[in-house]
Amino acid sequence: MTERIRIRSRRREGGVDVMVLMLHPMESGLRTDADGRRIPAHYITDATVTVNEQTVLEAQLGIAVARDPLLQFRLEAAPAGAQVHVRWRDNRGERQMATATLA
Amino acid sequence: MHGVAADILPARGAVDAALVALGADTKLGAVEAPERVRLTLPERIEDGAMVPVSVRSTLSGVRDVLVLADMNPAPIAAQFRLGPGLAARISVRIKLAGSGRVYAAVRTADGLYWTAADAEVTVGGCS
Repeated sequence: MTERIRIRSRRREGGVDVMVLMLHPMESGLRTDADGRRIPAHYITDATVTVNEQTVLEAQLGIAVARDPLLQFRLEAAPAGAQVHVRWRDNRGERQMATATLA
Repeated sequence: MHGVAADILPARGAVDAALVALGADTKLGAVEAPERVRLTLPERIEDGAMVPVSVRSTLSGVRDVLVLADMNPAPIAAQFRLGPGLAARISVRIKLAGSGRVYAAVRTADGLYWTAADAEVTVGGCS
């Protein structure tokens, strides 16, 4: 199965740029299918990023975030080899998490 | 199909109300500050379903970063709480239901500082 959370990081100018891609349909519940039936809402409500178990980012997402949410942010200082952990939860109560080692 | 259009119509003045509410617990409240908050949007948006938005701020002590849009059903598109060590620089891809204004806001203990930019959307991305 495809990884549903991808984490990439790059060390640059004294900090670390991090990209997190979360594969998710992010259905708003406002769309209808070809037969005019409403497509049920299915979207990530929140995502949390920790570095070495310290929370660095809490994101509240929702129906206005595009399919496959991509978050890009910058850590001003992070030790090489730090563990970055991402977890999300959606409106159906599903949860996913992933861990990566920082560049 | 009745009710669908009404559901996705934005409430009038919803962004203004949201900015005021978000700034309510700060000293200065909501302040327009384009020199302190930078919002980057594509110049032309062909597909409103996937619009990259970047917010940066020169302020220190930024606690929250918010992206709002006045053409969407709900004024707040995404909201971020920054922990220690995170730069005031966030990018996210959002949906825009049509043309209108996109807002970026950052909150410190002093105020909610915001800026806005026009978004020209060829095909809306909410429905």
